[in-house]
Amino acid sequence: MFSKFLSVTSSLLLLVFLVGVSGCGNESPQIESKITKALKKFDTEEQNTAHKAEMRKYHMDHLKHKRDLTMYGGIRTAEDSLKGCIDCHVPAPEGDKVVRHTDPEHFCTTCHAYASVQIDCFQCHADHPDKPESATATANNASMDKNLGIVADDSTSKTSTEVTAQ
Amino acid sequence: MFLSVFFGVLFWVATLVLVLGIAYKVFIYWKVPAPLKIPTTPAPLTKRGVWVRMFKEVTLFYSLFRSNKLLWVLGILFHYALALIILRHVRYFQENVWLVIDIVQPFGKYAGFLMVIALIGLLLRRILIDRVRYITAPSDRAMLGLLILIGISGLTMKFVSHTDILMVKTFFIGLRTFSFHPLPADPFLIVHLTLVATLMLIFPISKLMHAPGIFFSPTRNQVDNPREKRHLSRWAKKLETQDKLYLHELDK
Repeated sequence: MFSKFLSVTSSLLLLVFLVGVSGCGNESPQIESKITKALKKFDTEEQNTAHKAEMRKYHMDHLKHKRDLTMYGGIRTAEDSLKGCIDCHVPAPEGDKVVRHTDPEHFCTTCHAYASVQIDCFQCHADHPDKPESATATANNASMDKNLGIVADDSTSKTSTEVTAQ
Repeated sequence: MFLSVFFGVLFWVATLVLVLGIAYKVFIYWKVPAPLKIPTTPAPLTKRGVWVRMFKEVTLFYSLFRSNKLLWVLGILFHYALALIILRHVRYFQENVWLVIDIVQPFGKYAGFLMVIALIGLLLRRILIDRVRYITAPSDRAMLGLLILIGISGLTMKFVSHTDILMVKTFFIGLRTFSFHPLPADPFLIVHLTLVATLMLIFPISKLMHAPGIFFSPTRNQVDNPREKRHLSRWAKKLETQDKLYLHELDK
């Protein structure tokens, strides 16, 4: 009985192996090619690799640490700011074309949808940079406020929708 | 690259052993004769009743509830937490994740704690209660230990030392087509994956086979109709038509 089991198992193993080898491909992962490229570039490839490795694992820890420093400690620095991430990783609006976090090509959404991880950041924070000219940025803010029902806070003296309250 | 090929082959073999092993064991369970009519009474009188009984048994651990409340609490906590955790892990194997799997993510995350707590409770039960300790085999403790370590290494990855889950997902999706994508070399991930592969490999020869086994329990899956319908297995019927007696067959 057991030898029969062994023979069935080994023949199935062989079959799977043959099917596998025939379908063997070294295509690069689909998801990598879908992720939007950042606007700025690192000086060296090593810096880029290190940034990727660190951020893919720990971006949320950075953001939460930053939040705790800012909200509880009142320490507001440029380091690890979500706005900094967004400004480089999400293209600024061009005319009517605005990349939102609900779009699959949004830098964050591409991976988050793939890995089935929910993003709560953009219920309050802006999911794309301001328009380049400050004149249009104000207009953009106004329209965004209408859309999202949020109030712009100009206390940072920048026309930013990042620091807003509902 | 060595890491990903090693784990790639390991998971292929483990999956084959798991699936084929369970199929073979179920085949054996199917063939084993159930010569006696022995449903535990009060038992259902109809086939539909047996379905209901089985459903209550599998989803609510009904007979366990009536016999052992402590084990029932720990058992049901562990099994449902495990179900949520398995659903949560489905995201690593689907290119486009289903909505259910999306919804279950946060629940599966915290179910991890429940599972480990329940497992530690089950282990303490086997250590602290004399009568249970007396009938505890090494394999009982081993299975609990294995599951606890899997749970702890998984929770550590979620809440303490993260890993690159994108890389992990790419690795597992790639395995389908035998393309070995790199795995992140994080110690907790390596421990987690090794233990899971071990669990898959020993599953078909372990006590965990109670999962399919419950459906083959004659005390649970039989209709209580011995008077209405004579319980006669196929081999016994064959002997009867040849006018032979089973006891005489044994003497030969």
